[in-house]
Amino acid sequence: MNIPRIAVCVKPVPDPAYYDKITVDRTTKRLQRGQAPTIMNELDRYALEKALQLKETLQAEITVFSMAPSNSRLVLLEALALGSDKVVLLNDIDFAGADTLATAYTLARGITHTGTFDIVLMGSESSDGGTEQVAAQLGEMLGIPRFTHVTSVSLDSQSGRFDITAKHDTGVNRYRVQGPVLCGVTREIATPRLPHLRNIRHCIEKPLITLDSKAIEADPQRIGDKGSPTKAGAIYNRESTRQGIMLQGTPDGITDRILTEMRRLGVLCQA
Amino acid sequence: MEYRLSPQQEMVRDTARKFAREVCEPIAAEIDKSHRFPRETFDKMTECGITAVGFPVAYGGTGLDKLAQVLVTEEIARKCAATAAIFSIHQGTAWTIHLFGTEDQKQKYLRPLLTGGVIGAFSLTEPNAGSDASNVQTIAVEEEDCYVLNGTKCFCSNGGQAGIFVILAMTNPELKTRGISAFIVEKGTPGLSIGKTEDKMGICASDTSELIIKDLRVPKENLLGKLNRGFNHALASIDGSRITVAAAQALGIAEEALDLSVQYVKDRVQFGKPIAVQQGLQWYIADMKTRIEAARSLTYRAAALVDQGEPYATLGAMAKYFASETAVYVTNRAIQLHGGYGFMRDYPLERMYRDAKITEIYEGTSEIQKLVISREVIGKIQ
Ligand SMILES: Cc1cc2nc3c(=O)[nH]c(=O)nc-3n(C[C@H](O)[C@H](O)[C@H](O)COP(=O)(O)OP(=O)(O)OC[C@H]3O[C@@H](n4cnc5c(N)ncnc54)[C@H](O)[C@@H]3O)c2cc1C
Repeated sequence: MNIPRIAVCVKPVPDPAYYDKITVDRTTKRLQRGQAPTIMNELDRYALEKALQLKETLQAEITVFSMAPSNSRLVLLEALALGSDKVVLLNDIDFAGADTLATAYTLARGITHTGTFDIVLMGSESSDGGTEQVAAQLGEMLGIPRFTHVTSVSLDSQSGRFDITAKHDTGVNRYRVQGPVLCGVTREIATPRLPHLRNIRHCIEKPLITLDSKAIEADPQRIGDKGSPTKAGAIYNRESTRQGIMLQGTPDGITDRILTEMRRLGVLCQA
Repeated sequence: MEYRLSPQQEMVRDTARKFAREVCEPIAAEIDKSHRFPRETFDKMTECGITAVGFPVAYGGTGLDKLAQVLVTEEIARKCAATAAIFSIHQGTAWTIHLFGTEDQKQKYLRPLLTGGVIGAFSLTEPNAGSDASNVQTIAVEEEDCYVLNGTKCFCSNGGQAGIFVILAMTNPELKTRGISAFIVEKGTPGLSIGKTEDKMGICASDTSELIIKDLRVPKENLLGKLNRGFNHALASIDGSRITVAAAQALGIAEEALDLSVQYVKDRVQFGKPIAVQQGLQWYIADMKTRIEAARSLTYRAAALVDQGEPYATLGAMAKYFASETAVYVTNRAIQLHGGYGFMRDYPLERMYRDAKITEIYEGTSEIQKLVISREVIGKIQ
């Protein structure tokens, strides 16, 4: 096997620490990110870390793919600073409004257009979508074995075989497969590092290639809003009417009042 | 006038922000309460290049610039001011060696400071030499192959933890300020011992120690900068380090206190409404935010001047003076906005208020900054 080639899919998402600043546009039903900064989807960071570890042991080459608006540049530069060799940004106004199916299609086109890879790594889900669909769909579209909830991956570079562990509700499955494969990973896969500040200075010199729908020869009917069968239904604001009550006094007194209140609310039967 | 961070500066800030959230914030309250020096945090900083930010690559630095140092200090100070103090004072020591060291000294001492996990400390202050730093009484007597130092230093940040010290001493007492020199001293050199470690009001997890210097023999090649020019070297170094150590640190504390306050006034309901609807409180928030933005402008501009090779001492003094008073003002207001909860140790604000105070004192008090600024503005009075 030559130098293993790794693709990592990275999604820029709003920083969960700023979720209170995010709203949903009632007419377009899309997220309004407001002042929330854009960061790398957390699980994708884990996927990238795994790729970096494979690179360290096997001299692998890492290409990051991201379908994202152009204001996500910092997230992609960060991927380069962390040690990726190249970033491919899939960016086109026509990609906007993509659901998971159109996203998977676009990523598949971008990856196929760019080259062949021994493994595609990505987070099992995104923190702002949480559908867990893209990894499975992308694997199908690329026509390669795909695994989700992957907790460990190792590659025998002689044979090109991968040992993969994936968890499910009641246990784990272990697989030994010939590459190429796709893995949607979970937090167990690795512990992400921070970029070394020295590499930040040079990340800008690494290749960051932007491809639009024409460049990847995408079918216009399968991208963006047009290619997305998912339609947002009604949108609700979760109303929170919870109110804290401070109880003060002796422990016994407080216990009595809690019990009384719980009975009043029907949580406990009347004594 | 272009006024925005470069993508690299933004990435440095974001990386430091993540570091502060993941490494500093979870232990900030604990190390404050127990006055524990977070050695493990320093090691993690070394691992991802934070300790080396803003120094030339040739000596193990990350390249980048003074503004990057400011951004890192600010982000760390948001979550733990004591850690920001440890980091920035360490960097201030390295900065002094960078400014005045010979090539050999830089190769020998900058690398361990920037990449080797060795902590730096800078010791000018003595019991009788505070604002009047010229009144140094530690003596250095020249011998054939070394200088022999005797005296006592106080309030040395990182003192009990440092591996490399920059120490100022009198080489020619008759010449007063023109008779002071700077020396690089390694930990473990016979004659250097750590005295009392101070019990402080704020930045409690940082180490502030007394240095007892008794027949400390410093090899001649460890004279830092020119003989008898140490006082000028020290002042020049502090001109730069106060932009990070005090101004950026103050800025970070103030910003975090404001963020916490904005959240709190929206959440806290009294008289049936969030207290944020009270105009009196809205005006507090407006004042806090305005001062913070002004402090940020001064601080970033002072750092940018350093990077552009322009004179920065006066603007640096203004940044230090204004940002530190802003931090004290903002944390004080933030506690007021939190009412009784702000006063409780369960909330981080009382710690931030205690921490903010140091920024008005070290790296030259507010009064000394005004002295520096007014001297420059008024000029020599005939
Ligand atoms: C936590 C901590 C860490 C420190 N870390 C270090 C360190 O790492 N290295 C180091 O060398 N030093 C360090 N210092 C010392 C610090 O820089 C001095 O405390 C500071 O410069 C003030 O000196 P002083 O405490 O002697 O106060 P003084 O100089 O005695 O000042 C007392 C008051 O008089 C005012 N004052 C003095 N002179 C004038 C004047 N001419 N005009 C108007 N007002 C004046 C001052 O502003 C102040 O309000 C540290 C101090 C603290 C508290």
